[in-house]
Amino acid sequence: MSSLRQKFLTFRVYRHRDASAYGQLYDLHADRIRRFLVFKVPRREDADELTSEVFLRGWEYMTTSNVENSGALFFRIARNLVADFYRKYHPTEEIDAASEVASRESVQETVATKIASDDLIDQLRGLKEEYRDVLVMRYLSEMNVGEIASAIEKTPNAVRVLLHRATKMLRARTSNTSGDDV
Amino acid sequence: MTTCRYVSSYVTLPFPISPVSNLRQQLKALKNSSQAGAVSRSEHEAQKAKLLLAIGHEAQAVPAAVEPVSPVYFKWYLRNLVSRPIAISAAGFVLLTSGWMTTVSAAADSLPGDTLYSIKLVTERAQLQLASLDRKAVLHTEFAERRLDEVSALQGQVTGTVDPELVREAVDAYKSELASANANLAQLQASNESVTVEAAGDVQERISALEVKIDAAVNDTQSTVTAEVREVQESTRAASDAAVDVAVEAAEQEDVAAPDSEQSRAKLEEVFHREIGTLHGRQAFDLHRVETIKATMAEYAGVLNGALLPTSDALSLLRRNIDQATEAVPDAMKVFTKNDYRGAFDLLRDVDADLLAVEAALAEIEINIITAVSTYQQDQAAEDESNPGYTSAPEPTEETSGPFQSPLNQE
Repeated sequence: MSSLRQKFLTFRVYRHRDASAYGQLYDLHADRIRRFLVFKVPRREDADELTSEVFLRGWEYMTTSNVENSGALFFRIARNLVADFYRKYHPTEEIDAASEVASRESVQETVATKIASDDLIDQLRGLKEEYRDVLVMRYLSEMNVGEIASAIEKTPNAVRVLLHRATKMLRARTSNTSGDDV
Repeated sequence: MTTCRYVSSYVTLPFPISPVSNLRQQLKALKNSSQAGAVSRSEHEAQKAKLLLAIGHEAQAVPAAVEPVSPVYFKWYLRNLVSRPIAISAAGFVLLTSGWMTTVSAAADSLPGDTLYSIKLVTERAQLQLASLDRKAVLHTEFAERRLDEVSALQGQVTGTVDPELVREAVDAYKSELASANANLAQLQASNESVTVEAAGDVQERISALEVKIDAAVNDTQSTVTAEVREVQESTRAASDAAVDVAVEAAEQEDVAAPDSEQSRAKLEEVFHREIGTLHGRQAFDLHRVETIKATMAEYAGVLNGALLPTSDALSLLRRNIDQATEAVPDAMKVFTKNDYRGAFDLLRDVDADLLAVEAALAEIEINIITAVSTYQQDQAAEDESNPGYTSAPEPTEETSGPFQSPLNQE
């Protein structure tokens, strides 16, 4: 979706409280926000809940203020919500077990694939936060450098540098793991 | 899908993760993993419906309104991305430029004491800020001319009384502009700029134009010279001399450095001839002053009996001195052709000194006449008040201000 079209949808939401326009913005951004949140909070259902919260708050904000970049707004709200989440969070809960119960794998996913992807996800989770964010946005959400830059409020060049370092770091971690395995 | 297949087939091999080469593909493959936040289409739609319900809207509503091809979209596009930015920038440009231009052009005719006068000065300062040093010197002479016009306009004002303070300020401003022009020339010379001779020539040209203007104004009013006018004349002359000095010195320096510098020589020659022209002009003007004095003395013969005035012989001597003052000019021209610029200009200085001596004598005579005549007019007025029916003789032929009005009192 072009940025011009997004601007038009944002304008419709602001001027006419056009919920169908907001629905289109949701279609565009929901996956990205959810992926972003999945790696920030311990459980999958927390991420789902926070995603809904992001879009509810986004609606309140966008119907009262003229927003320039809706994508950047959603990511900003998401970051704030994560901060709020950890303020109230009690780590005594059984994270792993809950996560296992809550995860909804597709039936087609083979056990082997799951092992591989779990391993990579673990490696991703172990990365520095900003490295993980750019990798998730670039390869899982398939956002381009410009979109990532506006989402994390950095320059495109800074994003490219981050991506490069993040890939290098992840590569180093995965090769260590496989080396250990061998 | 290819990627998924690839990863699936890959992970069935004994080693779980490719160490290096396919990291990006593996990351991309993760997007379908529910662990990494992927949801099915139906789940996405269900969550969207929940959201739309929460914000108070039925999920399928007015899709036409947001279609990119719709007239609504087209209108929005035109208004927001074409018309509005163009209109805003055009309006801003028009407001800024027209407002500023109107103010500046209105300020151009303002006089000291007017509200807009400070804007006129500000624009002048701005021009100076942007100019190079040689251009600054010339600009100062331009502004000096404006100050001169202001003095003239102030004295020519019909309505209300003229504040002598304002005239004083304008005269001072005129002098300071000329001083700044000369200071800029001195700076140019000190920094050994190649344009010094040319700039000094230009400044001198403008200053001599000012001299001509002042003399013409004095001539036109057929009057004797007031103290203010004399001050203006003297400062103008001093500025002109200073500019010539700079031109000659710079040309001499240049002659040592580059003896064949034709451009500087031509410029200096221009200055030289202009100086001669100015001297001739002053000579003619002084002759005119002698004639005016003679005529006034004849007209007010009865009144001026007791005043300290020259005899007709003394006047003839003055006249002869004026005639002879410029005799050195042909010599100066010969010296100049032999490239002795300093010698040539020194000769012209001698002519200038002779004329100055004559002018000082003329000024003294004029002051005596003014004093005598104004004393007579005051006595006459007092007498008229005590004897309203009596008309005294001799009556001056001109208006009460007589010939003694300011020579700059001309539009």
